[in-house]
Amino acid sequence: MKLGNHIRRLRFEKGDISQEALANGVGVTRQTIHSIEKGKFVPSALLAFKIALFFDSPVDQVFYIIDK
Amino acid sequence: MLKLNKKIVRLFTLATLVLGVISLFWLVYDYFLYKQLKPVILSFGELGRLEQLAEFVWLSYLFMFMVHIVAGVTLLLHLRYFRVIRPINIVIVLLGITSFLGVFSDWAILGDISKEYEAGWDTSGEWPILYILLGIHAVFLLLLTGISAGILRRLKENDGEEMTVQKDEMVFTAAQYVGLICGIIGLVWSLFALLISQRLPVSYYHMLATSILILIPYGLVVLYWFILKFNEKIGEWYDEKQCRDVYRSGFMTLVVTIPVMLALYLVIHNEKIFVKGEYFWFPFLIFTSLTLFSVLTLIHYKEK
Repeated sequence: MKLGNHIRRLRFEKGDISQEALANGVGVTRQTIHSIEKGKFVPSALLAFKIALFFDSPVDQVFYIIDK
Repeated sequence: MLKLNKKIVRLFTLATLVLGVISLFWLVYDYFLYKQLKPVILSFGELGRLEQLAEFVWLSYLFMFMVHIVAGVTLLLHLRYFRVIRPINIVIVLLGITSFLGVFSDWAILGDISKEYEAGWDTSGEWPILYILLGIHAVFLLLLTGISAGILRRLKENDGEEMTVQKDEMVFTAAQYVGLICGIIGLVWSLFALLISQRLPVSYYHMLATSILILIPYGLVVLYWFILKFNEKIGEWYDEKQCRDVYRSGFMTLVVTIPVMLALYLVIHNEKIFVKGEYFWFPFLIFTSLTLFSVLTLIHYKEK
């Protein structure tokens, strides 16, 4: 099982938000956002909620489970 | 997180540019003085007026030492301000560390030349090293002044919006690069000293002092990072991915260094092989750990 996400799509939908601006908004580095977007890093529940809150969306609309 | 504004970056860049240009003039002075001193010293002639002029060489190296410290801070400020690490940044850090360590080598070599001249010994082996080091200083200072001038122009042209970064990754990444460079230099030095010591005496103090010198650039970057983090709680020093990367790298470093150190232990204490290495295990351990930790952290952090 892996964790997928719609962060990249949401960034563009919510007005071309840069990775850096999102990173600043949730208090992590740009590299961390990049890794989450690419699925290379699974964020903590707290960070996942912070990201969802940043986009003003429920967590399950930002993150989803990929069944494999 | 300390706030970084354009004025501070401009001030440090300007200071680096001015100090860099003055250092280049000092290098020219040193070069021409060495050119006059070398034949006199090699033929054991009278130094005369050159002896007084040679006193300024020490001053020039003291000045260069300070320039390297200021340059280090400026380069870190550039990384934090522009938030990009380009190959040129890595090249200048590599050259800067080599040149910085070169200043101490210059001091040591000049001291040796002075003592050997007074004792009536041949110093022809020392001069080429001195010239090579002058070349390294010159390349570094030229690159440094060029970059500083370019950045001053960029700062003037780009009066756009400044962004305060909550979690700075540039100093963290720079620390790993500096750690990697210092680690490799230290490993090369340790192995070189180990080989030399099989035939010539290498003192404990010499080994210790050189190891500390090699670690100074890394120590300064870490100190700068600590200053930035001073007002934050320890738990907030890293973000969660940095934390994971540091833990993984630390664990892997531990796993790798144990067999490496065991091998070294067996070699040093094996009477059949008999390698004189009692002074080397600790510097070797430090530099192996630093190299591994830095490279692994960089790999994990940059994993795409």
